[in-house]
Amino acid sequence: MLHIKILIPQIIHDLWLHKLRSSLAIFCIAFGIFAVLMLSALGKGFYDANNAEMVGLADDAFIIWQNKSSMSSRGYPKGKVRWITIGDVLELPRIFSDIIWVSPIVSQSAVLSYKGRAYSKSVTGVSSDYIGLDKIKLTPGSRFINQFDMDNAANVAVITWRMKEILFGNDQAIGVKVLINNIPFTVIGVLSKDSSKNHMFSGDLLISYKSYMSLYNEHQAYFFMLQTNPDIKPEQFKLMLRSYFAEKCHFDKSDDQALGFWASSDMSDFIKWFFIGVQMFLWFCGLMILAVGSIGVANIMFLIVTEKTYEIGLRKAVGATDRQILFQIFFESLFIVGIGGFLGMGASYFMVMFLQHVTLPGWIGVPYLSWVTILTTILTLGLVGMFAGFFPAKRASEIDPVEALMM
Amino acid sequence: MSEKIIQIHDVGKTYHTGKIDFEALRNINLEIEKGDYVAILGPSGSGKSTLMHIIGCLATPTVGSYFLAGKEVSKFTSNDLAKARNLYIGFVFQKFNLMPQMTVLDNVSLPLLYRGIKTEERRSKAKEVLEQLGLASHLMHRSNELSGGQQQRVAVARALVTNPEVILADEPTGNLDSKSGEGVINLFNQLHEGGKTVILVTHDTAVAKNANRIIQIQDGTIRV
Ligand SMILES: Nc1ncnc2c1ncn2[C@@H]1O[C@H](COP(=O)(O)OP(=O)(O)OP(=O)(O)O)[C@@H](O)[C@H]1O
Ligand SMILES: [Mg+2]
Repeated sequence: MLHIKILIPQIIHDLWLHKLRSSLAIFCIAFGIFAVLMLSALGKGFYDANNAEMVGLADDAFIIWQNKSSMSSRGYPKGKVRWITIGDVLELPRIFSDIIWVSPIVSQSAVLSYKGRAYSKSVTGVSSDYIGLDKIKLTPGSRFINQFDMDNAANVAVITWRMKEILFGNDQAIGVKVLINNIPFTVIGVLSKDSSKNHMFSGDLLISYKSYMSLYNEHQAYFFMLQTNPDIKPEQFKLMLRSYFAEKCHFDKSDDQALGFWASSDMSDFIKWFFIGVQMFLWFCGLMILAVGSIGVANIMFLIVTEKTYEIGLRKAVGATDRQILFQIFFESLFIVGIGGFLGMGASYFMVMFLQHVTLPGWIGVPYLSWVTILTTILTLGLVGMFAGFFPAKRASEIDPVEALMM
Repeated sequence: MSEKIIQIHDVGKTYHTGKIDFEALRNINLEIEKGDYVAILGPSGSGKSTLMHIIGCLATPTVGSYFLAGKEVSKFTSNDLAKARNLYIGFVFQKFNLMPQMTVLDNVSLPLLYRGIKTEERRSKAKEVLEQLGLASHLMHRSNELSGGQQQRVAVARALVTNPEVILADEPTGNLDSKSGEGVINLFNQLHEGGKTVILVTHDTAVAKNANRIIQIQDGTIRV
């Protein structure tokens, strides 16, 4: 209703009269917006890059272990159970069609020797499915234990990057034979360097569960890992598996201590909430900066209103209504906040563009600005502007023209 | 046929400054007809400006009623008063009261802004009025670059641009030398001849003689 074309040059004139204060307030707003947007963009990229990796497991994966029973069941006393065997684990996919991959995880220490030197290392027996369950990556030229190895009880080993360096230094490792408890094993794979920090597996060597069983004459599956069809709910699956093993291992199916579960969904939930917490904290910091900026803008507006008392009185005398004056001052505040916001948004846009085109360490991920973030920011800016403008505008609208003109 | 544009009944105005109340106007009864040329004459502090502010809808009376063009202004809200000023009143003040950083043209077109009139139309109207008052060559000057007499002409132009019913002038010659003062008074005389209602506040009897009706005010009341 008021003519913005006339207002804008006036606003610029007013701001120019208070160069230092206006530039500080605009800078505060711009910096607040820049901080909020950058933190949010970095946070988003970081979350995307790390969510999967930090979970360390495939989605819908479970690590399961058996405990002693915590109550008696059908004549079996508390604490007395039949232990789950590797065989029990491997037949699970035939019993539950929802299980896609499964692997026992059994570990013991072993004497590893190569070129006359002996090392005490931990050996883990797994199935060929393990590579899909734990997100391990292999170096080029490597392969993982496969079905053929398992069928033929082949003595093959996959070693970590660290083991490779200890045993072979810079030499070729693939195809070389090492001794595990004096049995020769052929190295078929080396885990990639960065893989070794992101997966579940914390041992030194992986061999097939078949080799493990003959090496240690051991059948108990201390741990096992499996991945289900994504359609099945984790809680539902846990109950199904517990009642299956309750029958088989003589514990009560209501005994929630008997089987231990660790689901990747637990971890993703944790990470999700962790990131929401971090984001809220960042938003809070940004808002504090914006609050300071908005008080700065309000301060300038009060100054401008005081200086313009005469002018406002005169405008009123020639017919400006309280509402028109209110709008004018309000618009000025929004305009100042808008300039700050625009600068902040522009700066963060270019910064994000820049960061998207340089190579950043993998864990930082690729920052990006989502529309939700931008819209939320604009909304916040609007609120900041209104907050900064309201009180000065109200004071301006209450100026008495008679008193103002006597000045 | 005469139409009473201003009707004031038993109006009083009390100023509250701190704990002290000051009765600037009391028992004012006044009717002014459309097309009248009225001078309000009185010594300093007698309440002339206060009365003018009430007539001009810049202030409301503490007691009594005031009708402007048939509407009871004494009951108006602040927004309605602003609209009434814009619609019916053109002010000329002793101190000219122009916007120093604005051009003459923008100063004069300002009242039209608050009527929501488009820029070009505002400018052409303002230009027209300024030309009539002999200021055509000063349109783009800043108002503080002009002489006192010229500034007061600009103020008169601003008062006229909305084509108001009533022109109110508070000591319009108070800050002018006698020659420029005479020029401004002549303007008011012409406005009156053109049919406008002109109300002139002054403490100068020579100025007051231009009007066809003189109201004397003393200690906040009209002397009869
Ligand atoms: N806002 C105010 N608060 C308190 N007292 C006021 C106010 N405005 C005016 N007065 C007092 O009211 C009285 C009348 O003032 P007013 O300005 O109407 O006089 P005036 O006749 O216009 O005088 P002058 O010729 O000096 O302009 C004066 O005594 C003045 O001090
Ligand atoms: Mg006065």
